[in-house]
Amino acid sequence: MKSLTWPTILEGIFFKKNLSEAEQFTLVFKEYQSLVRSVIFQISGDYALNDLSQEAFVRIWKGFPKFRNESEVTSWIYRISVNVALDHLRENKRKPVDYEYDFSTHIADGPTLEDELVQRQSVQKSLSTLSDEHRAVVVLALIHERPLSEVAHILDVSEGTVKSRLFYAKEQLRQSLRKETL
Amino acid sequence: MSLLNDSELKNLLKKHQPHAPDAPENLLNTILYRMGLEKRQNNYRSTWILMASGLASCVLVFTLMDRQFASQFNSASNSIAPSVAMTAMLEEEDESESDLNSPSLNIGEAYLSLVSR
Repeated sequence: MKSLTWPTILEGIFFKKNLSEAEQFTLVFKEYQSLVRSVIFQISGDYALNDLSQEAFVRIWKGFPKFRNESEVTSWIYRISVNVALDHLRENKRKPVDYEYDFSTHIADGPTLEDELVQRQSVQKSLSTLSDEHRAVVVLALIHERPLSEVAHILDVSEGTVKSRLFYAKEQLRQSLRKETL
Repeated sequence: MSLLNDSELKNLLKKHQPHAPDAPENLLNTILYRMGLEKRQNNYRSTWILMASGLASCVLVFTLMDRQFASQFNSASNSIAPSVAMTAMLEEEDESESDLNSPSLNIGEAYLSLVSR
């Protein structure tokens, strides 16, 4: 996803004089809904995704006037999405993360289809066994490929903490995937 | 199976990352409504629509009532004159008959006949 700075957003959306608030919000929603839903889903799992997306966009919209140009808008939106997901997981500790393994998309047809499905199930199951904080680091650093400094800013922790969590999460994923494929 | 190196692990995660299901069509409207953005617009719009439809209904009802009343009045005024005249004639006839057959007259006659005797 392209990285937009705050002034770009302002010029692109909020300075369009003819747009109503609803139209401005619609543009923001269309620009970022894929990112927001993806991050929330990957950290929190399937359930309550739509409610959490709603919550994230309400926070984004309400936070726009207070947003200071200290970071990129994308990074700020990541931060809100991650916080919404983690807050929700903290409030609902009993419910485990469940991705309801998606076998329908992004798998090429062919003789290896069954292997691919098994592998997908293993990867997603391994990801769901990580702690919430470790899963958040994996999602941001490995799946979304954000730099560690940005991950640290998004999670509001030091870069050293991010490195440590990432190291531990990778080890756990390796072991889990090895176990799954044995 | 040997342990995956960093690059292999990252590729595997990216390849098989969980994909969020598509957003329902009404999600945007739900959020707009929740934040009061769509609500306000809808309120203004629905108020105008309500007022216009109310006004149109009133005009329609009054027009229909006016036509109905006019037609009823016309038919009533056409039929009222003969019926009134007929009623008056019948009442007059009744009165003349009732004068002759009234009990007071009969009593008077009986009295006179007794006195004459």
